[in-house]
Amino acid sequence: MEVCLTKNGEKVSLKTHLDMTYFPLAMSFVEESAKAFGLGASEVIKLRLACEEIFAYLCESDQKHKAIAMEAENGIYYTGIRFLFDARNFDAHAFNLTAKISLDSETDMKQMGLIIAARSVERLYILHNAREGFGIGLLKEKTYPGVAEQVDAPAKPLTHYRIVSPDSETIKLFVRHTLTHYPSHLFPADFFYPGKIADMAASGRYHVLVASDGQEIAAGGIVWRMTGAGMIEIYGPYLFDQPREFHMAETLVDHLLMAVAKTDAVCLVDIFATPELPKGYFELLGSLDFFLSDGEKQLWPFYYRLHKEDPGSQAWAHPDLLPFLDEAYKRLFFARNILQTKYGGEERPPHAVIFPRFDKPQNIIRLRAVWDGIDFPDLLSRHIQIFKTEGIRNILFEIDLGHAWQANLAPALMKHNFVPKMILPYAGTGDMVVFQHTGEA
Amino acid sequence: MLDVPLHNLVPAYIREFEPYIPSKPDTELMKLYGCDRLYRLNNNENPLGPPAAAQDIVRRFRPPRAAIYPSGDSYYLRMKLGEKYNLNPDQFLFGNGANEVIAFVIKAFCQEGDNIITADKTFAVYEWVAVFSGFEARLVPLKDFGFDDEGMLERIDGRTKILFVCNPNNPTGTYWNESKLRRFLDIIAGRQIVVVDEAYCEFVENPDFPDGMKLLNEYPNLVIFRTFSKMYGLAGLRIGYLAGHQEVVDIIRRTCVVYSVNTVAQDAALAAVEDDSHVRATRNLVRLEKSYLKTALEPLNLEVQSGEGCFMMIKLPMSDTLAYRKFMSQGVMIRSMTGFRCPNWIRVSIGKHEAMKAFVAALEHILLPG
Repeated sequence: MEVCLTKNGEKVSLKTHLDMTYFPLAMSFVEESAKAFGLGASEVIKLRLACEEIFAYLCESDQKHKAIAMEAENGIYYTGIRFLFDARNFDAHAFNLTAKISLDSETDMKQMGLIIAARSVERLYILHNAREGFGIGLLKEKTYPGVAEQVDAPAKPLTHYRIVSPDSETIKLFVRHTLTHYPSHLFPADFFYPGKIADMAASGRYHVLVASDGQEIAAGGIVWRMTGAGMIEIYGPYLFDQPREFHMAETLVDHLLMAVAKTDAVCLVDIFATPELPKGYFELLGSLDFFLSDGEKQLWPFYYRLHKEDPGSQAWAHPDLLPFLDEAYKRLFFARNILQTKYGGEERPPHAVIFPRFDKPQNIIRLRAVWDGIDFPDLLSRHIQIFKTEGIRNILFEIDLGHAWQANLAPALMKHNFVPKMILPYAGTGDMVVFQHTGEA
Repeated sequence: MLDVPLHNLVPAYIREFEPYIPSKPDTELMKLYGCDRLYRLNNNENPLGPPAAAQDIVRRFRPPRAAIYPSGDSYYLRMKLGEKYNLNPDQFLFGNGANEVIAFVIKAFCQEGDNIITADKTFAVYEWVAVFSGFEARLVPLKDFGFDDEGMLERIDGRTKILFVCNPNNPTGTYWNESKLRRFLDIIAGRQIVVVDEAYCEFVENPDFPDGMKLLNEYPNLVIFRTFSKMYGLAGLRIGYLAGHQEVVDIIRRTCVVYSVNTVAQDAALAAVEDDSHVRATRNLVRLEKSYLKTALEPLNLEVQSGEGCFMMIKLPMSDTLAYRKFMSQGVMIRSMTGFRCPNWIRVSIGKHEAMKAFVAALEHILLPG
């Protein structure tokens, strides 16, 4: 056994083994790291609870007795914990949410370690690539106060302004103005906590540009973040009583595009587009139905801009998905060599693996298959049942048309009431197709 | 699965660097976009091709010569240019295209902590080479589409080693006249290396345009870049060069990769260099077709930036990358400009009349549907 503690900037790591003997050590590591990174007492408890579930779960899984590295990361607005395994020991099947659960037994349902963990944190995800590693990640955010009851002076129309990267106070002012000028479906839930946005900008999670007169006036702004897959998500632009003739929205978008011009971003998607989004910069990719917590349905449009010249590519497609793809590619002018694929009785692995990404504030679950298997339809159906039990109404499934076996999942998805809603060009190895569950059984 | 710990092995400035992905070969693009011909108006290539004498060299190349190494330092070509510009042949250094000589200069003068200064909207390779070599690239916004001399001077500090000026500027076509360039060099007063990239100088006919070669004796910190890819139509053979004060060139030579310029390229360039009729014919074509294009664009009320060089910039009321896809679907290849930090602008190279007509027709089809 080897226990080793290393410190590297804002990351702390612990190497141990998956054995309940080390449970107290591992939990002390989680708790003390989270405290050192500034997480509040109640958040530390919740994070610890989630980590207890995961550690115990892993000690009972195929990974038991194997080496594990635990990493704690100070994300400024959150503490992240990662359980990382050696790639050679990584058996993804064990990480199916439903791997150890019998849905017929209420007792088993209550012992769903991963589900319990997911309830206690803002994000639970599976790591499965050489760049980030292999394992499970958790993210627990700090608690921030909502908008203070201070009244800000209204933003005045600016005839002359500069686009600047704002300091922390200006970011908070910009966010408060956004809250008073826009309905809540036009900005991310994080905006309800201006201090959080300031911290997210400081951590590099969000990037913010505002239009300013050089003093502390934020007359408008735009926010974006890199998603890690070559895609940039944009929110806005948000303008506060600014006349159109000063072209502030165009200027904000231009500056954003210039700021990311030399990055390795492949595309930009505005997922919180305001009416101020200037015409002629983005293409409407499609819309999802977004269900609020009270069940109300809203149309959620996605505006897209390819960042590079499209070199053309190929896409695998099951015949059932062809009509959707043909229409979408033609409408968006994407050059694709479509290669049809279909199961032809060939040998398939017995067990599929589905990885979820919970996003609790948005009440969204995004699913991806990382392993093909004959039991995919059954596995899918079990996942849907779990999410329904959890009250998650926005269930998305993304398939990557760069992989033939994923393209072949389309019929099973459609049979289980998933509807193809839009293509995200170049969002994976190839283009991704986003399916949305209709909510029907 | 890759077991190499790339994260630990790769320097941060490489991890964060955006790789340049060249476009696919024409035949592949035509298949993908479903077009039966493709007008290449994206790379500022010479539509007339290389001069006749250079074409003859390519045609008559004897295959057995492919087994023999080329001249390692483009010997005869340096002799020829020395004669042409009245400079010592050792004042020239050749590379596999001008891109390679950019790397020679940066490697020769920059070390950890140093910086270079150039514009934000110009030929990207100065910035690229600096950044992926681990040096800071300070980018000064263009002023009225031109290099901002004052802005560049303000950004100089004790770690500034090189200032890059693209004259005329690709993609805006603006240029510094001789008095502006001299003033800039006088203020720098030899403290930094000033590179003036004259890739498109042969297209400029205005008398106030400075000939960098003539300034070399007065300004020993001046380095001039030229290429055979544009006016001389040898882009496919990759040959470019720099010229400077002999002591400066002697330093740069230490970082120079020898034998990187192939035999055909050297011989073709040697044949091309004296062909003034080719220069005249190309200038005539560019002048004529630019004029046609400007007239054709007038009814469309688009913002146009047209300066010197064999290209023009046009601002579109749509995403330039969407425009690229729409143009491609009609067999016309243009350059989208988001990567140049000019969102919604495209750059179109000046081609033969048939190509320009195809461009205008495609543009009208895109902007005026129905």
